[in-house]
Amino acid sequence: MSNTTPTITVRTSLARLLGFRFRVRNLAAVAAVMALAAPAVDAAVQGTRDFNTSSGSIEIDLLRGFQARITGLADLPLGVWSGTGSLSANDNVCIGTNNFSGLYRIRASGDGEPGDPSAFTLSNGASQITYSAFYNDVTNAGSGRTLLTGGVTLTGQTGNPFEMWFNGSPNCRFENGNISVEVPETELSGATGTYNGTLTLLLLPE
Amino acid sequence: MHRPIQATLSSNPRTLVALVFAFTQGCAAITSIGAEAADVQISDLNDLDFGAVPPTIGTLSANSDLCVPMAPRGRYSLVGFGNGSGGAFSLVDSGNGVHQIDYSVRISDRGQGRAQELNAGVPLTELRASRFLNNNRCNPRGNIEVIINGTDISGAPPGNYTGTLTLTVVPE
Repeated sequence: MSNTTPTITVRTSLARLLGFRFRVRNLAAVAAVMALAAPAVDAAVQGTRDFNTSSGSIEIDLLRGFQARITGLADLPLGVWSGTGSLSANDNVCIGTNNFSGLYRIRASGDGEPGDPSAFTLSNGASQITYSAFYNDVTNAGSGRTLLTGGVTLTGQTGNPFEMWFNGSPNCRFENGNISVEVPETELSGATGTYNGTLTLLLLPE
Repeated sequence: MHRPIQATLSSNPRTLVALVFAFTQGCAAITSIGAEAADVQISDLNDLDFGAVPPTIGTLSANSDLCVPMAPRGRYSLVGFGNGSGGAFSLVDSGNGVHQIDYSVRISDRGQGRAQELNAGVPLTELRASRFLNNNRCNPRGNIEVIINGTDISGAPPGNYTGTLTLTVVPE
């Protein structure tokens, strides 16, 4: 990304070049479900010695794993700040799960700051500015998007994830979600240099 | 329901009628098998936990010991029921009680080498019992194998599937 606009030339001291990158954690939710599985309890019933009949039973358990995938992510270049207003960017993403209900959860984490390791922050190496992140379970950053809190799971997302049942292709079949970020003017004012950050998304079936 | 048993015992104390209660479609059906009077026990059963499995996986199987001592020692029949419709061998999604994963059962009265398919509600006959031993050992020991096809797993929605396999043994 180059800093070549006339605005930057004239107002060098106010120019901010903000880069933004995603890091996606495509969690195969089986692992998470494993962690939540209760320890096995011995429930087998042994038969008693009896006259002419004896019965016993075995308990059989199987946890059919969940699977989820988020794809279609792209970096979010915010460009150069002109000196007024906020900067924002968004990207449509592709959510797939094999969850029967179609519900899923999503959790976003930023680079953090002292006291909040998941805070949405950008850094120029010397100082940080904060930004807001939003998630929408349909495409585009519309009014239905939800403000995210770093490290806090957003539940009940229903945006028609493509199914991954029956060994179906895990590849994106259609975009069905949107991640958006916004750096407010109050954060941009007084900041100098090039700011970068990583937004990590964690997808889990509901 | 108990009168046939009493009548048989009074006519021949060495013989009685063993009853196997087969719950079919919510109604109790009774199968009578002529049998020699004997003490019998089914034991050494252990639960089978397949754990968390991914949607795409091959056929799974797990084994339980099976010990059926009899006194006097002889042959026995074994009948099994699961949680599916009519006692079918099925695991049921404990979350909604609707989705099921079928499984099959193979029984061996000697290790794992003589396994026979066990169909739900249909007695396997001519199985050989072991002796009652004082030290709780079982010799010979049998085996129960539960098999779940990978296609049944991949075709089922995610969930926690559980089931109880109930086995009843009756001397022959």
